[in-house]
Amino acid sequence: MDGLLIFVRAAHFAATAQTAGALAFLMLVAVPAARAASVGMSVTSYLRIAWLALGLALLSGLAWVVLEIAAMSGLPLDEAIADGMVPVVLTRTNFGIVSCARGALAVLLGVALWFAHVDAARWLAFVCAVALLGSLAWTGHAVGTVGALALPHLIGDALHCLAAGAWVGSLIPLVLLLAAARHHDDPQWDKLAYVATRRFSTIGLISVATLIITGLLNAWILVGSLEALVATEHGRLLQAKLGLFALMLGLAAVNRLHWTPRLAQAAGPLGAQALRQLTRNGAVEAGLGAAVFIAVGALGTVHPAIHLVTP
Amino acid sequence: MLRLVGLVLLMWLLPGLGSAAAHSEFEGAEPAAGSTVRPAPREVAIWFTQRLEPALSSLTVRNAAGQRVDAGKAQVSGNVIRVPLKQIGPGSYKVDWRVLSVDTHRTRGNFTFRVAE
Repeated sequence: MDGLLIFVRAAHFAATAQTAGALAFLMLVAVPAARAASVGMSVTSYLRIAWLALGLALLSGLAWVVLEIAAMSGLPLDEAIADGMVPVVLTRTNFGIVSCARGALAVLLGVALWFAHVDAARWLAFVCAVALLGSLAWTGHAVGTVGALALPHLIGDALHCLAAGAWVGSLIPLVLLLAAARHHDDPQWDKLAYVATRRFSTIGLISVATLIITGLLNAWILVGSLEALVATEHGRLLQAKLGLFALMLGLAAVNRLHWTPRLAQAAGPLGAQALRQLTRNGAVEAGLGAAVFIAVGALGTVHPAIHLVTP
Repeated sequence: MLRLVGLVLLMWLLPGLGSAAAHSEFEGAEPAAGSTVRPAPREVAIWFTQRLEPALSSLTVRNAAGQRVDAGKAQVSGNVIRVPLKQIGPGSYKVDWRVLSVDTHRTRGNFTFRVAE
């Protein structure tokens, strides 16, 4: 495995998910919750996260393309450039064409974010971020699948990316909102924290269900057997990803079933403790999510397990 | 806790690293690898497990003297690459392939087939 390529892919997946997650949290959680709690909340910090993540997504995306030009041509980068491989990869391969389209989408997203004080531009930014994240499916194993499973695999993979972004990408904005609620020490902000956590929890449930269904589809197509799951590098990476996912799921369950109901009593000490625990657990979940992205970064660089075991 | 998770993951992953590099995505060929055929084939076709990139995939066929006997550029359609052959006679032929799948994995390999008297 190529360590630099894995790092760059992981950074790009994480940054793209964070961009979409920050905007999803803003549009679907924070703004409606602030309205429900009658809190005049600034959206600047969420937009700042989206800007930072988009910048990282652009840089890591560019680095990914450069590394792939060398990897796809099988030449050192300077030789690949001298051999004229840059236009070949960018205009005549699936990865190059999709990457150019995604680059244009990222620029459009940047323009929309620039005008994010206008509601319509904010929604456009959200749609662009969703498209940027979902289109990652066209750069991975799913695009290589042949036959009747080709389209279901691509759609499943795109939904998998979107669900991961909606859940993991929303964690840092949630932590920020909860931390702001603790800082304000105001009943209206406590109500905002509760409504936002409930709304996030619903998005989390939908995301987890989508991740499980599409993950099973992916595993069926790319792994196919318990032997492949155990005996191959791809299978072991998937096991690691599943282990991390299980830990995240455990934390999310504790948050939803134990701490979120206690947040309703935010005026008392139990509510304050719930707010503190939810903030801390959200941060730990985000850390585990980052580790999942490293596993995803590595998964795309190895051959699918199903092709490596004899039926 | 994160440090512990990282350590467990590393121990889990280390035994498997490097195992994939020795494998290819080759699925089958016509004429089949190692086969003896008669009459001489007019083309060589190879099937792979994933869709291929036409711009960065190639297929060549040489006779026992090392001379190219393929006639023109290899054509890619989905997960199949094929190349027409010149008129060839009895003997041994070596097929070299180098392909890039659309998910950016590069693989290469070779096999031989014989044309019987």
